[in-house]
Parts: sequence; structure tokens; C-alpha cells
Amino acid sequence: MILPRFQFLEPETFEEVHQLVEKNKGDAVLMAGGTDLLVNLKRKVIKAKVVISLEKIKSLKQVHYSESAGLTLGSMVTVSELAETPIIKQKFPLLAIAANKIGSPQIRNRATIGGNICTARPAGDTIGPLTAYGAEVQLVLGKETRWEPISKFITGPGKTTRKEGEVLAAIRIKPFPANTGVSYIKYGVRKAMEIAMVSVTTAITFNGDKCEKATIVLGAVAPTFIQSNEAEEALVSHKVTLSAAEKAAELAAGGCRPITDVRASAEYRRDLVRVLTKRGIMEAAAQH
Amino acid sequence: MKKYIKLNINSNEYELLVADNETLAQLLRGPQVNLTGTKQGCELGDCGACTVLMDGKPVNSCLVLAMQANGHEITTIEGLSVNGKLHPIQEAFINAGAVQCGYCTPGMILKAKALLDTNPNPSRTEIREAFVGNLCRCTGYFKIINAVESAAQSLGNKEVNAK
Repeated sequence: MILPRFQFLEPETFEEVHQLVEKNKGDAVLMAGGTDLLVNLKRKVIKAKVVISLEKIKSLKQVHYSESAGLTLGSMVTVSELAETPIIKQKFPLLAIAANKIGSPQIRNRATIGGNICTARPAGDTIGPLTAYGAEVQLVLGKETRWEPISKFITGPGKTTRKEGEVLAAIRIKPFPANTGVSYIKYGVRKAMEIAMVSVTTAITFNGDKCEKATIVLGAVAPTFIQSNEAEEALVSHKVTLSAAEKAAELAAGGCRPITDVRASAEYRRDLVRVLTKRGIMEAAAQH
Repeated sequence: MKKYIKLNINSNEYELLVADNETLAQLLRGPQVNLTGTKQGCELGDCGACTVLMDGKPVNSCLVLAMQANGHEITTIEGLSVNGKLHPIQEAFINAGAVQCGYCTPGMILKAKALLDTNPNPSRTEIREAFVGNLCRCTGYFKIINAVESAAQSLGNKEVNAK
């Protein structure tokens, strides 16, 4: 499959990106790892006369962690790096686990966290964990910078608030308290090279034997990732027993808005939410 | 507009004229480099036939632009043998009968090299997980896993002998 013709540019600064996008208004796309964009260009799903790679902007590859500021990831950090960096595995296990479920090793070596976010698929694997950690994303347009919570940044399937020429530069997250159990379940027909039929991200913080805070994020069952507040509230200040998990899972299933498509029917997805939420809660609780 | 890039392919320096929309797979197989051991299957990143090592890491060369490879080190299947002597992983694939039609084999062998470089003693599960992005439509996976296991052993023995 041959790539259509385009001009390939590799700017080194945000200002240059801004200028190049202005100069080629409506005809330019930004490229992170390219594992999604190049496929879409080949299939002519996306058409562009100019492809602007972000690979030469050095600051986008940085990983920074401090106790006070949490983790700041450059958007060009690869998915392999997410899965393998010790500080991420240790402090943000949900992100490392989810990263390891993306595509194949070959894809993970090129795909980036920024690409996964900006593609904004309802099944994007890093988005559930990032939502659970309350991620904020940094957007840079020339010299202007803004921060936005990821839940506001993604507005629908493939849709974000990113303006033309704006670069998703960094992602900032804070870890859960130490006494937190987590689980990320991705359900699909294959374990690899797969788009989730449903994904469930769970984090439960304990105070003694009771749940102090619960976070349950559902993927691929609504236009964007959704947090199941009803299920979370049902767990808080209770012991996390199987019956409590079942009750919360029913609420999560009731609150989601899945669609029927080639991968699964809405009914099946809803039942998956029920089963996987229960499983996720029990997995998270087992780490306590 | 074509540009010149510098590429180290199998420890040889190349200066190559490439087009903006040319993929690394097309460049490697094209007339300037002419290393046709790298195969193109789906050309969409699903099958792994075009796997090459870029700075030691496996990538789908159909999803890397030639220009993005500028300044990097590429290893293709042609880069594994030394003076006509096959690499132990290649030997293991032959001995295990892990080659059927052979189309997936270059990608499989390079993926095996990347795996054994980072994990010299993988379990069968680890091998299977490493190969999720390499499809064999002859479905010869069982013997491929056997080959990687026996390659791990022969590479391990070599190290012991060298010590």
C-alpha cells in the first residue's frame, strides 16, 4: 500500500510548528509516532498535503518525577517507555499495565502517549488510566500554553479541544495514595493488536478495611471515557465484599451508553461492563 | 521533494536519496539498497513481516518513514549472518522446521533477536507474548516457539563456552 504524496517536515520548536501549520492551513497534520496516522494516510481516511513530525522537538521526550509535582510525561514518550520505565511501573502501575496491552512490541516502540490521547478513540488504552489518575494535558500553540483536564480535552470519538497547530506537549499525573489497589482490564477477542470491546480501569483506596475512595473508569461504552460515579459512591465507606462489588458493577452497567458495532453489540458490552467491573473491583481489593 | 539521508544498515554507511512519502520498508527493498530479505505483508503494521531492528529495537518498517530513519542504525535479516555463516537463531529456525513458506521468517528471526538480546532465557509464554505482532499464515507458530527456545539455549551455551 503506497502512501499518497505529501511534504514531510521536521520542525525543532513549537513556534516552527505553529508557523508551518499557519502556512499550510487545512492541509497539514501533526505526526507523533505515526503508527495510526500512516495507516490512515495509506487508507486515505486522512488526507494531508503536509505531514509535520514532532520527533525533533527534544523536550517532548522527557520523563520527570518528583514527590511534589508528580509525573510529567512528554507527549513523544513511547508506549514501550511507559511500560518499562521503573518510576511509572512503581508509582503509576495502571499506566504501565495498559501501555503493555497496546498493539504489539513493534507498534509500542513507535506509538506515543500523545498520539494515543490525540487520536481520542473511545477505546484508547492509555486514556482510562490517565482519566483515573486525573491527568492534565499541556497544549502549546507557538508561545502560548494552556493546561486542561484530559476529561475535558477529549470531547468525542476522535474529537478533542486541540486547535489547529496546537501541540499536545506534556501530560501531568499524580499517584494514588500508598494503600490503593488497582486493576486495568481490557476485553477483546485477541490479547494483542486489539481494540478494546470494553475496558475497565479501577482504583480503590482503603482506610482500614473500608473503601475510602473508588475510581471506576469505563472505556468503549460511550463517546468518551466515562467515570461511573454511581458505582464509586456505592463502594465508598463500605467493606469491599463480593456482594458490594456486584452491586457497584450493576450500577456501572446501568449507567453506561454503549453502541452496537462490528466488534460487539450494545447489550453484550453492557454485560461486559457488569462482569468486568466486578472483576476489576475484586482484583483491586485483593491487593489490599 | 527528495532529500539525502544517512543510514547505517547492517554496519554499512549509506547515503540515500529518499522521497517524503517513502517508507523504510520501500527504501530497504528498493534499487538503492536492494536488501529484499525484508518482506512487505499487510503494510499496515498488523503482520510484522517487515520487522527490522532500529537502534536494536523491533519496528514495523512499513510504518516508519525513510526520512525518520535518518541517522539511525538499521538491522535487516541480511545483517545477521557473518561471512556467510548463519546466525544461531537462523540455524535454530532451520533445525526446528520453523520455516514453511518463509514469508514471515525474516520478521520472526529479527523479533527473536530483539527478544533474546533483552531476555536471554524467555519462558514459552514470554516468547508467545513477544511474537504477538508477527503473523505466520502457514500457522507454524509451535515450531517457531521451539526454534526460539533452542536458539536461546545455543546462544547461552556459546556464552558459557566463551567464558
